Amino acid sequence: MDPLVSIMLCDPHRLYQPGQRMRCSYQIDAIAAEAIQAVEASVLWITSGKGDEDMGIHEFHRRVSDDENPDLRALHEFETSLPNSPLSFDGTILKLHWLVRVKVFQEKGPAYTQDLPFQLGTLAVFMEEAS
Amino acid sequence: MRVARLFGILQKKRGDRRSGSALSGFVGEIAFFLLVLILGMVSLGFLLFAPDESLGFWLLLLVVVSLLVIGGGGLLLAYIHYGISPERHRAITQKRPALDLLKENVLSSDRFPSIPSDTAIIDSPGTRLRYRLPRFESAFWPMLAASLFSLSWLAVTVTLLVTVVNSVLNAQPYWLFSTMLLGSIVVTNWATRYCYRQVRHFTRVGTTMMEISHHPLIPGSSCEGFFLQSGSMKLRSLRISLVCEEQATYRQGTDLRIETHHAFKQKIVSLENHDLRSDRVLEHEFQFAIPESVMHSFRGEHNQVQWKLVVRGKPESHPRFTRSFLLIVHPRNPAREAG
Repeated sequence: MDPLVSIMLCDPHRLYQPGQRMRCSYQIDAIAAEAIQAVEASVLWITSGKGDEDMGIHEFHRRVSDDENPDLRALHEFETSLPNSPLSFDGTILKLHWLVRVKVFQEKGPAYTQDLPFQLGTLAVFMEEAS
Repeated sequence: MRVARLFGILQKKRGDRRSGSALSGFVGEIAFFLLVLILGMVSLGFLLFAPDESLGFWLLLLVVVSLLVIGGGGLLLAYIHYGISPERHRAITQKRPALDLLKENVLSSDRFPSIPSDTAIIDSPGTRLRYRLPRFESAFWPMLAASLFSLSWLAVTVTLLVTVVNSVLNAQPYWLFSTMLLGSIVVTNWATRYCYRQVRHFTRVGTTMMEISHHPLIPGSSCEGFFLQSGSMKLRSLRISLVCEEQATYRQGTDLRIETHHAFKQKIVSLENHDLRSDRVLEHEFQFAIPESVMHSFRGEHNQVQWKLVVRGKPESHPRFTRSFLLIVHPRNPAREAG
C-alpha cells in the first residue's frame, strides 16, 4: 500500500508572484516510521508538451532517517522565496508547471512521489489537480 | 514510472520513455560496463605479463586504457544515476545563480533564471539607437557548407575523369568508373549552381542591421526600432514582424526533431519597391510593443520561447531572404511594480 502524503501551501489558491515567500508543509501517513529511508522535498518547474521534459530545481531538501530524525512522518515545514522566472505557462506545444514534490524513499519497494502544482505569475495556465 | 505496455519493435521511442523497468535497465547497464572493465583488466594483465611482440605496445596500451576508462566510468555513472533521484541529481548539477550581492556585474540570467543571457545585446551598442540586436543565423555558414560540398564533388569528378581518360588511352576502359563519372558530373553541376546562388545571395543581399531603444523588454512595454538594409538589388517588398515562437526539441530514437509554433505574430513594417545600391542603403525607423499577458523569453535544455524581430525581403531577381534578430523579454513583476 502506498504511503499517504499531504502537502499544504500557505496560499490556498496556490497563486504566487515572483519574489514572494512561499511556506510549505508536508506530512506522511499510512506507513511505519521505520519503513521510510529518506524524504526529499523540492520546489521545481517541469515542462510538458511536444518536447522532451526539462526540469529546474529551485529548492531541494533531503531528510534521512537517523538518530536526530527518527520519524520522518511528522509535519515538516519549509519556506522559500520564489524566483523571478520562469513563470507558469500554458502554450500550444510547451507548458511550464511549477510544483512542490515530495518523494518518499521506502526501505522496501519503489519511491513514492506526490506533487502539488501551484501557479507562479499571472499568465493563463492549466492547473492540474494533485496527482 | 511509466512503462509502455505495447510498443512496436521497429518503432522509434520518443525521448526518455522506457519499454522496461528501471531496475532491469540498471542491471543491464552494470553488466555491460562490468564486462568492459573485466576485459580491460584481463587485457592489461596480458599486456604486462605476456606481451605480444607482433603488435605495437603503445597501441595495445591505448586500447586497454580505453576499455578501463569506459568500463570504470560507465559503472560509476550508472551507479550515480540509479542511486539518486532526478531531482537530487538536478539540484547538484544545476548551475546556481550568482548570489554574491557585492559582485559588480550580476548577469540578468542570474536574476532571471531560464531566460537567455543578454550579454550579446548589452555588449553591442547601436549607431542610431542604444542596442544593436544580434542575428540568429548567419548566411556565411550555408555558403561555406555549399562551397565545401561543391569543391569536394569537383575533386571527385576530376579524379574520376583522370582515371577514365587514362583507362581509355591505355585501351582498357573502366565502364564502372565511366558510369560513376556521369553521375558525379550531374551532382557537381547541381552543387556548383547551388554554391553560386549562395555566394550571389551572400554578396548581393548585404548587411541587415536592427537596433532597439530599450532592453530588456517587458510585456506591455513599447520600444523604438531602427532598421538598415544594404546590398545591391531591387527590393520588391520588405516586411518586419514581431514573432514569439515556442520551440520544442525531442528525440525520436536516434533522430533529433525540432518543432516550432508561432504563439504570436504581428506585422510592424511593410515597405515596397526600393532600389538598393552601394551608395544608397534602406533605413527605416519604427515602433513596436510587446503585448500584455504574454510569456517571457525562456530557454530550457529542450524547450524554449523566443521573441524575435523577423525581416523578410523579396528582391526582384533573387530568392527571398529571411533574417531574425533575438529580443529578450523579461516577465512582468506586479509585486515589484506595486512596491
